[in-house]
Amino acid sequence: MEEKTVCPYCGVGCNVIVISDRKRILNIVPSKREDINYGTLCIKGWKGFYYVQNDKRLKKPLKKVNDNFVEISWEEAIDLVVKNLKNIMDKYGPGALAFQASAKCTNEDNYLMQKLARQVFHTNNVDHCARSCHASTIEGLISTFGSGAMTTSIRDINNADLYFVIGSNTTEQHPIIGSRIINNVRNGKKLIVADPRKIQLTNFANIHLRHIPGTDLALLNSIAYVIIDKGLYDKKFIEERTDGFEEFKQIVEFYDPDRASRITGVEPELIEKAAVMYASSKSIIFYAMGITQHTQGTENVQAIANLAMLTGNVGKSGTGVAPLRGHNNVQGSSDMGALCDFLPGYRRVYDDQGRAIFENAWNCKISSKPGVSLTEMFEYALDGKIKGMYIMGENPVLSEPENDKIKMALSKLDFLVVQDIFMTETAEYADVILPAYSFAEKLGTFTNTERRIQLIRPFMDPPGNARNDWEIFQLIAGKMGYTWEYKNSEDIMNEISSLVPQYKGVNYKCLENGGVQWPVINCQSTEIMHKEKFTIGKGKFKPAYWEKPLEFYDEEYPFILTTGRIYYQFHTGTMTRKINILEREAPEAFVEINTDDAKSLGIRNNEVIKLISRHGSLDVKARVTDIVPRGIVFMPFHYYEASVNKITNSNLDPTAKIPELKVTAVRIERCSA
Amino acid sequence: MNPMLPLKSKILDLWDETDDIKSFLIEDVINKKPLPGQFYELSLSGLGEVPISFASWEDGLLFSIKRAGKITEYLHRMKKNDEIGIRGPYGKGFPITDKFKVLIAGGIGLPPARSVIEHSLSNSDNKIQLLYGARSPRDLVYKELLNEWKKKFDVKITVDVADDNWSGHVGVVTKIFNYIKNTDSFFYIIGPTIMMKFAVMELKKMNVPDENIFLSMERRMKCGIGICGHCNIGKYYVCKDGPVFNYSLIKDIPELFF
Amino acid sequence: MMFKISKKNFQNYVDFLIGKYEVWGPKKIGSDYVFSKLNNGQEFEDVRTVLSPKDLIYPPNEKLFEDNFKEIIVLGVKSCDYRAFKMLDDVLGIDSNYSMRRRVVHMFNFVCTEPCKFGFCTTFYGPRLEEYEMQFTDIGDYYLIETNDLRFVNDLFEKASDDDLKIALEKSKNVYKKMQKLNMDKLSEKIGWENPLWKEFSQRCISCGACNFACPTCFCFDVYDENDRYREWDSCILAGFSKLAGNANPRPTLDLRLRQRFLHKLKFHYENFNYYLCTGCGRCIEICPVNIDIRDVIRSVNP
Ligand SMILES: Cc1cc2nc3c(=O)[nH]c(=O)nc-3n(C[C@H](O)[C@H](O)[C@H](O)COP(=O)(O)OP(=O)(O)OC[C@H]3O[C@@H](n4cnc5c(N)ncnc54)[C@H](O)[C@@H]3O)c2cc1C
Ligand code: SF4
Ligand code: SF4
Ligand code: SF4
Ligand code: FES
Repeated sequence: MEEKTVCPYCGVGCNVIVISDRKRILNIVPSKREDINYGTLCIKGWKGFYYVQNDKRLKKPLKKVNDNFVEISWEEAIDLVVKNLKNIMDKYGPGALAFQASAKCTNEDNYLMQKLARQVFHTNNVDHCARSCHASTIEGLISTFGSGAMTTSIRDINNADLYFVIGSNTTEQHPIIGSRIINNVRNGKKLIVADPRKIQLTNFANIHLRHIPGTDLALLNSIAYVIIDKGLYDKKFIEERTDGFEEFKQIVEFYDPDRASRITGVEPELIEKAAVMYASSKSIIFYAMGITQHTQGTENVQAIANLAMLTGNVGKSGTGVAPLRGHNNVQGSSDMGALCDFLPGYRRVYDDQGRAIFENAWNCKISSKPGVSLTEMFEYALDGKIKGMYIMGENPVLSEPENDKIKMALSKLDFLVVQDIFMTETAEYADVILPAYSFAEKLGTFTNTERRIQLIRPFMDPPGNARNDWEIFQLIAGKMGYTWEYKNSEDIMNEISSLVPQYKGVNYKCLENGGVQWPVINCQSTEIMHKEKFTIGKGKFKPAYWEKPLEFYDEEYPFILTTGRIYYQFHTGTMTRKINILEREAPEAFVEINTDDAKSLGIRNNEVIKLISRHGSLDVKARVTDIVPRGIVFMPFHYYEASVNKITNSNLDPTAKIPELKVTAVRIERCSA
Repeated sequence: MNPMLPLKSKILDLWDETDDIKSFLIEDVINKKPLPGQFYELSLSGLGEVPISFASWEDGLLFSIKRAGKITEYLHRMKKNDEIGIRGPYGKGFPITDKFKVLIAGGIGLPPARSVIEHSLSNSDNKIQLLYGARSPRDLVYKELLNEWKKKFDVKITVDVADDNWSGHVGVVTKIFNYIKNTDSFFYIIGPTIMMKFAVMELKKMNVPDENIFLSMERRMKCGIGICGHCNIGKYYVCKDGPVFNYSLIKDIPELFF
Repeated sequence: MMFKISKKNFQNYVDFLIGKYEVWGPKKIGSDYVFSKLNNGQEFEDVRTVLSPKDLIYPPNEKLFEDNFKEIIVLGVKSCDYRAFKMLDDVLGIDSNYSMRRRVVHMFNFVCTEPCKFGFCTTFYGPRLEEYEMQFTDIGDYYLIETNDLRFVNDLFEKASDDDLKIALEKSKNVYKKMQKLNMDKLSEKIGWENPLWKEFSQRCISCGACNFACPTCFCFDVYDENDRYREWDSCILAGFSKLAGNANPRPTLDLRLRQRFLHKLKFHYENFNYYLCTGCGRCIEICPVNIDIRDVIRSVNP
């Protein structure tokens, strides 16, 4: 048999047809639809699906007995979960519970998990990994445009004349968008890349700006400076469509290219050239974690929005701001309000009107106080303020900064439930483990980086007694005395579409032919947002001064460590590391260090070296290369054997609470061999 | 029968040769006399397979294996009487000739050289010379055997790094090429790619014709029977057309040494 | 032997086959066409798919020691794909799973009468087969059927005339007329190890492996153990393909790996077997996300 579904890896959301006999995958075929993956896939799409048939899939609920896990029945598992969570709630109050949703799970799963937290357990302490990747996008774009999402669509990339890519290694992280950019540039379009590393896109870049990590805001402000200085801004657009230009102008005035050059390390002429090129073309700005994972992540995103408004490069075909979402469904799980400060549809928890809608619909009281964010949950657990935690499909032990602290926090909990498809590093700490369906067994929806709500369809039989995530929540709610009556995931979508304005009227029928992009109007896509007016009415310039990252290079820690993903692995590798070819290609952690730096430290390629930060140290193989510039080292975070998040800093963006994973000051030592 | 299905065999005995090389005597359930230079696929069920040259064939198949990665690491943790899968012998070995043979072996290249030596000696042919290079005296394999061989034919040994007890040659194997007795010999070279590259360069300086040089090549292998495509050097498959190649056939291939 | 069958009856014929065998063929899924199991004659579409039916004889991922092989019929096979199996036979013929499936999977050729967008099969052998189990050509209201295998003949078949064959030949010639034929003159000798295209391609190749996975003639596989031993399609574009223990690699950079792919097809395999390991199906061109094109390699040698 064959089933149309969506790749479970990155936010591009490539469409595939899977041929299977429901026990094993027989073949994977890319869909030819021109608006997404035009008949292509990256290596993760081709090879990465096979984890679903891995023998190590969790098949039975487990409970921990004397440090060992034993199989139990679903009845016992649900009883245990309900009894313990309820005890904690009764004894310490709802604030002692915390829920982690997952960008790997469907909209329906995420919606129900946050509903479980808010309606059944009366807490806003529900959050997910968007916190550590794109929380600053949500804040940054909502405050400027009114919607925290890509303003344009993948298909519309072909209509732009210039691409400005900053803080995104697009060909590795969003390969099928990266290749679309390459094809367009080879057809004569222009490309500006701002990235400290010589990423593959720089092969095609007209301008490569190699700024120091953590200086993005100064760079972006300086580009704005040049555009204003040379009178290249779109006066009409600014007048008619925006507010706050004067204040913006005053602040960026500070960033003439010479000054910016001293901060960013980029020659002033290059900044000028880039500014002129950007302002004089129909341009889309792409960005990812290189922009968001900073203490000034929100300001960085706002600076990008500012640039787009300054030049009228938003709300029209071939223009826009494109945050590239890492996970397949990080857009959707945010839309679903799996966030401690937002209800579904981005209604802030302190917005009385917004809250009232859900209080009525769910017949409950919702606290007007934002809950504890993902990054803070573990601090709270350490302090004993959070006692019980429920984690669905996430592996914070590897993905969150300073992971020794996370482990300590998890062991301190009175009760931990982990709902997952594999035994993860995090699940080791659980009291109860609930085996869930993978995307291969589910009917549901994912929302990709261009806001497209897409159907995924089951092509495999579930392993053992695993259950659908949403069904598990319904069982728990039921035991708690809340009768939810969802017969299937479509029932959940029907509730979502009645409560979430962006998803208004969405049902599975209207998703059948390729999905729709929100805001959905009569089952039709909005390809380009903010066309006549911004979601918030007039666009708001939100300028800010650059501040030195809380950690920067100094004498004691002379290198900046920046982290990221590599092409063959995904996130903490729970899936990709079980795939033969993906693991073969990238079996071990490494740290990239510049050839000259290596020479002066006497480090040879493949030698194991020590990285020391203020937060810890680790041993890792050096990869001597010119991809990174002097003074900067880069390390992927996928590996439990050398987990870089042991030593990254956990300074937070005060608004979005996103950790500054992109800048940690480190020192390098040779391990005396 | 499926040519990739290993036969069940067992480890009759095993012992350490050096810190990272172990020898394994394995029951020859295939019972086919291998030719010097041929190799087998050794298989650990549920873990994987590795191609290994046989070193000796008498009371069983003898392999000497260096810990290099995942499977070899598992092999080093095996015990006597443990089950192991084997298939082979595969590939084309060294030419059987009554010409004089100079064996140039580096590191873990000695085991296959041993198969040539034992083949010759058993045919009471001692027109052989062995030039053997290792990292350090600790890394020399078959130490006792080397002494016995020295009684029968010329054996020269060199190490990259000496220790206090070492009184022999120091330096890479090409440093002892001046001992080569007869340049009108067949030269059999087995070792790391760098070593092979320099050995060939030296031999060319000594005007040894290409046709007299034989190299045992190493490439990533999976099937061992010429179908998985991993081990190619140009049009040749190392598992099927090699591992031993006459230098004249492959010398113009740019990927030969790396 | 020659027959013909009306288009109307053809669906019934497919239904007849489905009654006796498991039948696969191209079918429409949303806006895409894929080879899948047919439930009824209506589902069959005579179109060229993105992937060839290579997977039905040589699956992308399979247990190595399998012993369960089903007899199936595959409709809608194109000559480029069929010829590829003849080539694979020369390499994988000694492989158990492959040769077992080769025996029980029947491939029915459907002659192309229009060129496909990226194909260049006329450079090699063109859309008609000389050897086949069943060969179907669309001749208007009928399919002409050529076969020597009486097993699949059916009452619905009518007698075909030489005129029908003439139309069929004419139709397939249409492909020759419209398709550009590349100059393969002594290509395997002339193509060198060095070519500026390798570097140029490596600038944009995203190492997706699709050119290998989509190619009906690519045969390389990797073997790995989970609980059982498995094999899966491999790609010589990936660094791990040739990596040795300790990270040494004879092809450390992408340009060298791209060279391996093209030289294997256009030089090495020719030197071993006297034919190019390419049927001109154009699939690697269509599926490459960044438009890397084997025809450019051929043209760079023989303009
Ligand atoms: C013809 C031939 C004869 C050999 N003889 C010996 C010998 O006598 N003694 C000895 O110690 N070593 C020998 N080797 C090298 C040995 O095969 C590798 O060290 C071994 O495969 C490494 O496997 P691994 O799983 O430990 O390493 P990993 O790096 O984990 O390798 C994974 C897989 O890649 C393949 N592979 C990796 N490196 C090599 C390699 N160098 N050669 C072939 N395949 C490789 C294997 O399939 C292996 O299972 C020989 C290699 C060849 C080609
Ligand atoms: S680009 Fe993203 S969505 Fe597409 S196949 Fe690769 S990982 Fe999957
Ligand atoms: S190399 Fe390309 S054109 Fe040739 S057979 Fe393979 S996929 Fe088809
Ligand atoms: S299909 Fe294109 S991008 Fe993918 S590996 Fe092949 S050449 Fe590279
Ligand atoms: S090892 Fe498979 S072809 Fe040589």
